[in-house]
Amino acid sequence: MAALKRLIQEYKELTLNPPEGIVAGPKSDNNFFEWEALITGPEDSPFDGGVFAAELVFPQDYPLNPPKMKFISEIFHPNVYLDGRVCISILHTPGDDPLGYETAAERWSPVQSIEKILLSVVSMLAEPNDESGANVDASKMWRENRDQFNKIAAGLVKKSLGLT
Amino acid sequence: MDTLPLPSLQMYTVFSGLGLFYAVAYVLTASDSNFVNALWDDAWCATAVVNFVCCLFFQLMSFLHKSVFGTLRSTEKRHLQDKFWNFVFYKFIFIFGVLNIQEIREMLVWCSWFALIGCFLLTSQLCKDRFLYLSFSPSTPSSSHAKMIMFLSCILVSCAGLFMVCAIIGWQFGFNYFAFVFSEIYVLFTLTLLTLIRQIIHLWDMHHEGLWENRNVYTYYAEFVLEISSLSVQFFHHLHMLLFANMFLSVASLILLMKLRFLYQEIQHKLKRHHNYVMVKHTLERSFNLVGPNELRHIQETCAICWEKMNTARQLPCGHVFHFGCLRSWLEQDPVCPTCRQTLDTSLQRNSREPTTGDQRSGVRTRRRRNWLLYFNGASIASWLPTFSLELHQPPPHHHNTFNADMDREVNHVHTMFPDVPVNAIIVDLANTHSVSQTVDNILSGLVPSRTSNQNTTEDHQDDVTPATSTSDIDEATVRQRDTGGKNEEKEREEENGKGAQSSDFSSTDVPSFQTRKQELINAARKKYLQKHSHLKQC
Repeated sequence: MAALKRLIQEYKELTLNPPEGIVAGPKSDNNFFEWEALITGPEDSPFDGGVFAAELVFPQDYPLNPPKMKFISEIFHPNVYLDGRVCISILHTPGDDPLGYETAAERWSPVQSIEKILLSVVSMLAEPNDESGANVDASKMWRENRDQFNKIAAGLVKKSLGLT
Repeated sequence: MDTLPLPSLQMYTVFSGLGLFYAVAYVLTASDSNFVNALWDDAWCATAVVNFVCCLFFQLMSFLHKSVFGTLRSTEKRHLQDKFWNFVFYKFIFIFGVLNIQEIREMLVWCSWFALIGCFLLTSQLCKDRFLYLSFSPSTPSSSHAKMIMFLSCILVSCAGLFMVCAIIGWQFGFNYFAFVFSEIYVLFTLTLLTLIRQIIHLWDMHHEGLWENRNVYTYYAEFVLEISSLSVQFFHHLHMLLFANMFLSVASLILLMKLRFLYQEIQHKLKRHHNYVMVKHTLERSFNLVGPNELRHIQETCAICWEKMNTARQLPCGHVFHFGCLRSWLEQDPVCPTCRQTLDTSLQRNSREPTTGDQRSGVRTRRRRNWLLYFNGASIASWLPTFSLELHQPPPHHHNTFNADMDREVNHVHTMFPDVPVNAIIVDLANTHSVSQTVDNILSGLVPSRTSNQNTTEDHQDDVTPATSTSDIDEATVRQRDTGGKNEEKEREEENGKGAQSSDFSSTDVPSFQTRKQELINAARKKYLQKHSHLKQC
């Protein structure tokens, strides 16, 4: 059970030195393999100021395989599937490449960590990769109608804070 | 599965009891010879008696489960049910398809034997599921582990007894029956032993700092030997059944063949994986330097894969160092340096592309197992492998039902969003609007009088919790209410986290709990958002 020990270590690290705007931890003490994370939308991005909740589910052989990540809060983003699953290269094992655009160097390896994943998600929020069409509508709107996209994002930010 | 009209254990007990009652009554009234002989002579009475004995077995098992494990979680229940019906299905095939038993008393003997073995198997399966669940958390009380170990040891001891019985059967009835009985016990034995070994290693691991470097090797070989031997025994068992039945064109033989095919694939997969393991290990030992503790102190202290301290390590050509075991398990999967992704020795290339971890495969299989049609394709084997389908969600905390509590919660809700607005103003507005969002809109549009906000940005969370303001009755009352609300919330959270929740390594330090930190983040973001937007409006 190397996985549990490493998850404990990471939780400790994330609690004692949390990155700006990110809170993450196990949903309950009974299960360290399911986490919840809150991610603040980066400044000067369409999602500026929003707090988006996501859940991470770790495989039993973590860190050999990456966790699965899914937004619980509603989000409209080129790299997030409609059901909330996040499509970024760090969450893919070297073997699978669903959309065929990433180089192996960006993918999962056991030296990555939860913190790095969450930081990648923050930068994904700031700079969507419109080549990967996890959400085709969002991709298209991001490319062709940025104002509309920003408007939707601003609505989601408000919603994520529970202010609607 | 749930749609099938299967009787519950209670119903079964009631009917078995009735059956026994009638059998006894019948024998007592009908004959005046020796009671026991008469009972055994009449086929139906004998069936009723044996059935009742089996029922007692299951009741006893169920009682033991309840007393040792408490209430079972839904996944465990489902696994038990699956396993049980699967077992019944295969034994039915065995009795009527393979042995082709005509004599009812012979069948009864087999039935009681299978009831006994079945009880042990189900218990072992439950231990395995429960251990998996316990191993997800660092804060499991050691008493639950102790109980499990005791239980598993009991099963192991019983296994020894069963092996003796098996030897006697072999002596009396010949090799065929010995082989049939032996394979059953052996499967039970390996399942139990494997769970026990895993648990002991887990316990050892959790109570020791650092990594036991050879641990991986021991665990791996223990698992490999036990799993392969169990699979081979089952393979030969099924082959034996097929040959024994001596009729190749029947439904039973078809099912046996399917199972054989499955077992064969499973063994093949295990051997392939082992081959890969040995190869990676040899390559590692041959081509990468061993680094001792002295040198390690200069390079790096912890292994980047498991984050534990390193005493000895292997160095890759690119200069990065890792634990031998950690490196090995990664290279089995992908032969590149985890840190810089430099491709390594070509002899490691390939052969490793296919999934090497049993977990992924079993994940697929457990999903399939829910389908009753594909069911008999070997669920008894799949249950060996770790499962992913554990549902560990706690039920959501109960919501308050009364209006007052609701109102209080809403007031709290709004107040945490807008700490500037006095609580009584929120209450008045909420009483009018009956809706949080409406009140929020009113506040946002300035309809609700807010305290002129000139607090500095460093205002912290404390202010939200205890607004140090007016001493009006309403205000005080709500503050009190809110305090109790907070306590309730805390209690709920504690319940959610289980009794041993406080034993996370650093809960003693001053770091606020995860829930608090989450709330703080949201509050801060809300405050920032509102400030920004009110600023925009003014512009």
